[in-house]
Amino acid sequence: MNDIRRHIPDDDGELVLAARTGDLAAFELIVRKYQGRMLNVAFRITGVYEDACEVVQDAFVAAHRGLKDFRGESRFSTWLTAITANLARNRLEQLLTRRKNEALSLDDPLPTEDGDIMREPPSTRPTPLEEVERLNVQEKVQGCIGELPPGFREVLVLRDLEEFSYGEIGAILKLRDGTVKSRLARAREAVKDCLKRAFGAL
Amino acid sequence: MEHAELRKKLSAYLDKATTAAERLEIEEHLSRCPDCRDELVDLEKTVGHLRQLPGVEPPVWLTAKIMARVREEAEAKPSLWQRLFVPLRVKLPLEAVALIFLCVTGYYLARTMAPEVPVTAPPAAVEEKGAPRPQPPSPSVESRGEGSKPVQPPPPPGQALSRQAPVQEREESPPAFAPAPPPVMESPRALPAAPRAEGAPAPAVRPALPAQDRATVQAEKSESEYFGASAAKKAKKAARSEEPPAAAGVGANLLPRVVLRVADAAVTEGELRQLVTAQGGSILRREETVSGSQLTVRIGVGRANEFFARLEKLGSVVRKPAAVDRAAGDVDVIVEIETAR
Repeated sequence: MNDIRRHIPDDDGELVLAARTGDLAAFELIVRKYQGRMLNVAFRITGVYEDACEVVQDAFVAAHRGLKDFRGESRFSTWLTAITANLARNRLEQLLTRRKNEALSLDDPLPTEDGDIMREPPSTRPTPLEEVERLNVQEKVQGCIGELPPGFREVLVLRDLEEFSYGEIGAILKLRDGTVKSRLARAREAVKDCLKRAFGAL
Repeated sequence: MEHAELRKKLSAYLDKATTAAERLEIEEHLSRCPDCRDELVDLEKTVGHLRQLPGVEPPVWLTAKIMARVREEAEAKPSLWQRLFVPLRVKLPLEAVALIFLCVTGYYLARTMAPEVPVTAPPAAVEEKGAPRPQPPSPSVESRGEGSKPVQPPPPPGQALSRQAPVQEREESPPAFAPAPPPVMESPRALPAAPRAEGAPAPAVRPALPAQDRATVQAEKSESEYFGASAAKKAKKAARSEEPPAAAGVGANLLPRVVLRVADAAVTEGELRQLVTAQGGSILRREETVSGSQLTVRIGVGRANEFFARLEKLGSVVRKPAAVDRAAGDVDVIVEIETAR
């Protein structure tokens, strides 16, 4: 999957042209080509699979609406990822706000790949770190990513999961190069510390 | 380079995103510092874990759902456009027509309303004939008439002379109007002659009926005058060039007249002059008549009533003009002094 992800050729010129003229079949090809990648971006940023699926739908619908305005100044994949990442960031903030408001609720869920799971009753509720330890490696890694605040999370996801360049990340998230660099460094540092705690050792 | 500082740059160093100079510094430090080397290794492992995260698979229905929404939007849009623009196509012409209609209506309304506003302040009773006369919509005629200020019927018969009056005189009034048609008096012979002729047997008696007849005649005449305006204007021009005083004099037909029967016209004339001066008025014209004299007097409208009141003390007033009801301006009156026989 990683290999495939890295080696998708990004030559979408003809497809995009056709889709712009209203060719829905061409647009469907675009959807099939990028939906996996966009879902990952959305999932890694939001941390919740269902929300990620909704974000991806919204992203492709928005892309289709805005196709006539896409002038090919960037690669189509970069443009599409920008739409997805920004929608995912918005959704993340909604989720965090909702969780903050529900912080006192007994049913505070821990987001995982398979969906939300229920917390145990307050008296026996484990600490966040203990929660992470109980999960498998992948879940731990995602959990550590989930510890990152918005703004830092997207940079890390786009760099270390989707392998965009510093410049592309700056264009997608509308950040200066220096900001991308410093945020990435701090995000990696935080995940490193989190994983050390979760695994005991890296 | 300090440890703390170095560790901040390790991430960029990993991505080969440092400057060449920085890279050298870092590598130089790393070669001497095992702790920082450990840090670098930890960082590499972290990034490795991240990169090895497997991608999640999209649900099988995702493409179909996306395309369904895309199709929905693609179909919804045209009708949205139509909803906006087809009505517009109908709305705009409608609005244009309505606007034109309103403008035209407004224009005609304005034209109709305008004449009601008096353009000048003509003397009040000048328009005795105005009452029976029709109200033509031209501003000039209106201004010459407080025809809108109707003279109480029967209008003083003095207007009868209009019969004599050449049409052009009447037409002259509009342009010359302002305070009053300047030389207002008709030829002295013509003016007294007519009333004399008509009322000769009993000059004192100016019966109302003949007056009304005269007024009617006058009305008819004014109508014909109105409709014969263009011809009249030509005649007026001719008349004007030939005999300005005479032409002007016929304006006298329009003025209120007072006839004073006195014992001695000459004495009364002197008294009249004094009265006029006292009232702040002026004598515009004086003419000899068979039985006395006729003076055209201009009095301020505010003083007019008092003037007439005092006039009555000078002799017996055979005829009085209608009450002055103009708000401002001057009134021109013809005072005829008649020696009683």
